[in-house]
Amino acid sequence: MPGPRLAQAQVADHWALFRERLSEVGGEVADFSAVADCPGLFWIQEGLKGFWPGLDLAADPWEAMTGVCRADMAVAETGSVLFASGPDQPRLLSLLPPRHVVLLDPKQIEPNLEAALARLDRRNWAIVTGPSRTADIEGILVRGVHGPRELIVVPFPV
Amino acid sequence: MRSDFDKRAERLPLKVVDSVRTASANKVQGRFQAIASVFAEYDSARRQAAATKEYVLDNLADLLVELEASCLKNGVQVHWAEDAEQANRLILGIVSRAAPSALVVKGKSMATEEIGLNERLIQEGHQVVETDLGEFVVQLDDDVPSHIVTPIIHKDRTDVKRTFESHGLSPRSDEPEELAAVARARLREEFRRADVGISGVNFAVASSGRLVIVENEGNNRLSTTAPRVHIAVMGLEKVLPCDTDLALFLRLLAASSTGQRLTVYTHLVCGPRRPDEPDGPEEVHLVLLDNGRSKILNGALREILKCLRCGACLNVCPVYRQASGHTYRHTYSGPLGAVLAPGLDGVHSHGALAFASTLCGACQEVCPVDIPIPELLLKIRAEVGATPAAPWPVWAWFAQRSARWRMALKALPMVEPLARPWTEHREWPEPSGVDFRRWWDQRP
Repeated sequence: MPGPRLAQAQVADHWALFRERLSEVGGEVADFSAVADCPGLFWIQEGLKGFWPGLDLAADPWEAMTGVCRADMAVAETGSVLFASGPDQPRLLSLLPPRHVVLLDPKQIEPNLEAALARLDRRNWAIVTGPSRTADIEGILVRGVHGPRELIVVPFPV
Repeated sequence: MRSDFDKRAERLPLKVVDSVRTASANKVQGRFQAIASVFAEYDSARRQAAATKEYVLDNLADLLVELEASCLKNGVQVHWAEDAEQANRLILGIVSRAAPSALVVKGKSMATEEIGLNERLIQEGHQVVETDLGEFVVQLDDDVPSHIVTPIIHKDRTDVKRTFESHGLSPRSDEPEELAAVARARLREEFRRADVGISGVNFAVASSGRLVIVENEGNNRLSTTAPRVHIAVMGLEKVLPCDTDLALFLRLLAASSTGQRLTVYTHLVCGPRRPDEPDGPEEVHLVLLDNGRSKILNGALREILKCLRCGACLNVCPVYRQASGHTYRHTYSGPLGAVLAPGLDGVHSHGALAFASTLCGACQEVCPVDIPIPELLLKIRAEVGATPAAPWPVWAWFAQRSARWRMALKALPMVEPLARPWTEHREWPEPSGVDFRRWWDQRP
């Protein structure tokens, strides 16, 4: 559903900045069709499974190679996606699978951290800014040390 | 006069000095770039952060009471620990109730290093696994961290590979990528089986009760999400008034410590798993650790309690770079440690660290909350009293009588060996061959 014109223009700006900052931290943007091409078993958030009826779901979340869930918010300034724990938002989904696909409604992008923090409610929130990384050995950047190695954001207007 | 600190620093292998110097120089560069790209007005950001911290210190007791009330409302159990012993006993009680011989996974936490929690848990029959890559290596080595942010800054890839091999892990190469993959695979099982997760806290918000934990690897989130019980250990001074204060502090911490715009994971804990949630800990405990902090609050070193533990002052310090963290013999090293260690444990046990500084002021310059570290070091020096023996009284004795002075000049080449600690790294000035008086008398 398209929103008012003015808001739309603003959203487009946030999206451009979000995209730039996300790629700075090693995340990427892909389109919806890319999800089905991911190899291995899937862990898909309840309510999204219907979009990909043919995919192999992992019986054990610890075995999943790709996690797919919706972002509850995003921050343009930092390229972050946010997740709030809830009945259909397992905390481990954004952590266990080595590839994390995030469906983001561009309208959910806040311009900066201040705006995002002002919207937090009493759930547990995680602000995720890029794929997991470490530089503990010789200061050399390694991705995917405990959390996901790949963070893929798919624009998903509701 | 060389101190024990100097002697320990001199015994460091060249390889360690090289590792520390290279890594800290890179971190200084990273910080510089991050600050330039994140802040349009860094100075005012820093002043605002320092003022907020000042407010926190002025109102610490009230804010902590407010934090406790907010946490309780969120379902977080709050415990107060006056000292290390009390904190350890408290935590031990929670862990033992979770499982008689529990598997504990830990995210990186300097507060738990400070109280020696791991040894205590292990003594009582629990198993403890450090899950941050650097801390994991430190634990395998039975070592202690040499940097508050980068625990194995003193090691290179071959050291890490050797450590892994001596513990039955077989990396195929010494590439950091491979070493990290080996640690990841090994620690997955621990996360899965763990009964309790223990973490530190970077910020705790009094008004909302939100516990904020930042990290890059994901081990901290895993440690505080997968096990049934989460224990967060926090130094009293980490409290902030409101959620809206977080944005500034998150940016300052990420830029100053690792040169990032924001750390990869910012975990905002607001309570245990709710009945309708699929995962998350059933119990969340917050341990508020004093352990000398309230004493610091009411003393001359008060401002060190503003510290965010970003480590920027370590990276930039010429003494830390040359000496590495272990030389300080305390959980907290570098300029911050040289103030905090004597602050927490008393100037009589660690006051000598205040002399391990050139007072160049670089630490204060990079501090995101503008802590006047050189000034605090001088206060500790004054309290310790003993300043290193200056040679001036000796010089004065010779300089007051011309006969003595002439004798001293003649003898000067003979005392050169005494100056060896100085001349090892510097040129001994060559005498011109003739002294002033003789030149004056014999001038044409």
